[in-house]
Amino acid sequence: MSALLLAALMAVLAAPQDPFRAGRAPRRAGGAGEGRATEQAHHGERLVCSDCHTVHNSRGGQPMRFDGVSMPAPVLLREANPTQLCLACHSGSYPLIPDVLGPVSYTADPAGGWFAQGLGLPNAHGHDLSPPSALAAPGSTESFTIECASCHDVHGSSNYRNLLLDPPGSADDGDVRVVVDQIIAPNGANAAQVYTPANLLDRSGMGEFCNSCHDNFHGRSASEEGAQRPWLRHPQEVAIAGAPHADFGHWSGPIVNRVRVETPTDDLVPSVDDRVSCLSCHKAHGSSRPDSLIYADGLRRRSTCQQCHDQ
Amino acid sequence: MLSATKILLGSIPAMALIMGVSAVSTTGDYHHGASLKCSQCHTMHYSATHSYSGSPSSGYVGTTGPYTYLLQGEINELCLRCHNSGGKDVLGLGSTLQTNGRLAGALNWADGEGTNDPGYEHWMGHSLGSTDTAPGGTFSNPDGLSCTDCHHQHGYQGYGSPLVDPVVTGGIADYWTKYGTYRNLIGNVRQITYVAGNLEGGNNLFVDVYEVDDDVDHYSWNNVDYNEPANTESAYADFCGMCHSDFHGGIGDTNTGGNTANNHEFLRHPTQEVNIGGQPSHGHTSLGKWDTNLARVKVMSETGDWTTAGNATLTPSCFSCHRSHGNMNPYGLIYMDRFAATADITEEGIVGAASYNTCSNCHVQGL
Repeated sequence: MSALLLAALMAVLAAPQDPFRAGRAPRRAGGAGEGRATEQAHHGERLVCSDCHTVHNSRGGQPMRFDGVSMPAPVLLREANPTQLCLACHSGSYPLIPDVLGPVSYTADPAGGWFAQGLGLPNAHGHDLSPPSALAAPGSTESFTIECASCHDVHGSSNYRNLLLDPPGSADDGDVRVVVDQIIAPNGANAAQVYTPANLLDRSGMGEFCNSCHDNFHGRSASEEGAQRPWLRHPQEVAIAGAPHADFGHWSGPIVNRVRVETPTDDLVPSVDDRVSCLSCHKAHGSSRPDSLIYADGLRRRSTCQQCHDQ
Repeated sequence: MLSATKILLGSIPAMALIMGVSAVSTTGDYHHGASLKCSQCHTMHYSATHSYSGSPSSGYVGTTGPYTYLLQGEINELCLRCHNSGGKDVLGLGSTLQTNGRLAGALNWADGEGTNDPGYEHWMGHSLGSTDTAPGGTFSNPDGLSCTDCHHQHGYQGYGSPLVDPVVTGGIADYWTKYGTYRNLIGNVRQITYVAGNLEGGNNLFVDVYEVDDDVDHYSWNNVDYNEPANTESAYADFCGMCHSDFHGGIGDTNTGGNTANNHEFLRHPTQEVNIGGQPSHGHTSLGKWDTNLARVKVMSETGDWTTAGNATLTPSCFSCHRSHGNMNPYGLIYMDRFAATADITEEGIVGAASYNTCSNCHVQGL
């Protein structure tokens, strides 16, 4: 029996490792502070109108819609609605385009995770895409009908992954800047290298972005995380180093499958500026685990907690 | 089978003389009024041993005649006798003798109908000889698309019906001498009207097309602008819509969609009525952005001002994005990079630009 456990442990340890997360400092593809917005798809020079719109709904007299329907769609779209349009490319049909609909095959660990199959059906593994009616957002009194465009600006933004500068919830104040640097910039043919945690240097802003809808989960008021220890909800944007309840010694050791943290001031993880964000524990789209959680060892929820806390 | 390679006629001096004479003997376009010369296109007996001047070298009749309507040859072949060379070349690569620019761009041959010049393909605009059904419509010419499907071979001088013009004092006589149907295009509900050259000393906002001058370069991009005498219409779109019917319509029509509340929710891109900056609640287009453009696509204006942000009457139409004949871009599209200099505008738009650059002239998304 112990041999089996050892074998399982070895299998976990043998999982693809991230050289950066093992402690090697990478070279950044761009400067900190502005992400790599100009190299994102659907933004700037990569915002190609005809990818999504058709001026006349005609190509040699044939329909332009991806679903083959001959009737033109509103807003000159090439699908019935915006989310269906996004999924025409982002559902695994094109191997060079990141797939957001599970199961995902272009990479073993997509940074955003994936949405469960079956649009409109409730699932406990992440955000429900295109539900038939608005759903209450945990940590909020507001309800939302989540579509791709609920979080992403379809025409691009200066935010990481074209995230909206003004997400739909009411809890944010003004523009939300989500800053993430990439080691490898996308070139249209390297999705497996780009859209993975190993390629990212999270800087700031993700907590505030999520907070727009999940407003009790982020912030230092008594209705949110609390002002200080003892925390009322798990804090974000607190450095692991020096946090009494965390074990920076353990975090800075040889951790396998290190979770994402924000590294606001340097390019090195682990280092003293590392701090937890929403994406340390959750995949933004969803995962195979409840509540879109990340199980760092692939087996247990606590393995994620243990990376910082080592209780 | 005809070749688009330029035909260097032996009678170029004679042709130049004809063209030169026409420029002073008539207002506006050729092939109407005093410049409509029967013998240039018709032959009484399908015989041409010499020209009217006695020159044996300039006589022409096609080889497979006689032809109906006493024509000298097949329609396209006959038109291209003059319009595939010299100063009024409309097929493929322009002639080196061409002094005019080509606002309409270049036609091409349909597959199997002729050899296209390098760079000009049948999917880059209107294709002579094509029997295809027009995209967005039901029109097709079983004999192949011909020049006379769009242009009236005998001209439409005087048939224009511009909206009521208080400036006109000469009644119908003025119509005959001043107004014309732009490029002898066949009209639909009404013709595409213009004042030939600069006969009125400025822009007449009651006609559809403003031809700035009637000099040797009067077919050029920078010599033509578009008025909007009725702000819910586009005479040009009405013309194109005769064949491409689904692509043209008013706000709320089933083929184009849209609503008047915010000029939004279109099913196909509008070709009339909708002004740049006219979607206040959605911000899809911006006059402010238009104002900063250096190179611009052509749009209609109610006021005769096509450039400034203060003019809220600017309306795109078919010619904003397409060369009516075609060019070396797909669909005859004009790729207009708004950051480029106007001096760099070619028949294709701006070298190195792409389709989204054209959209970006008016739309705020992207660059």
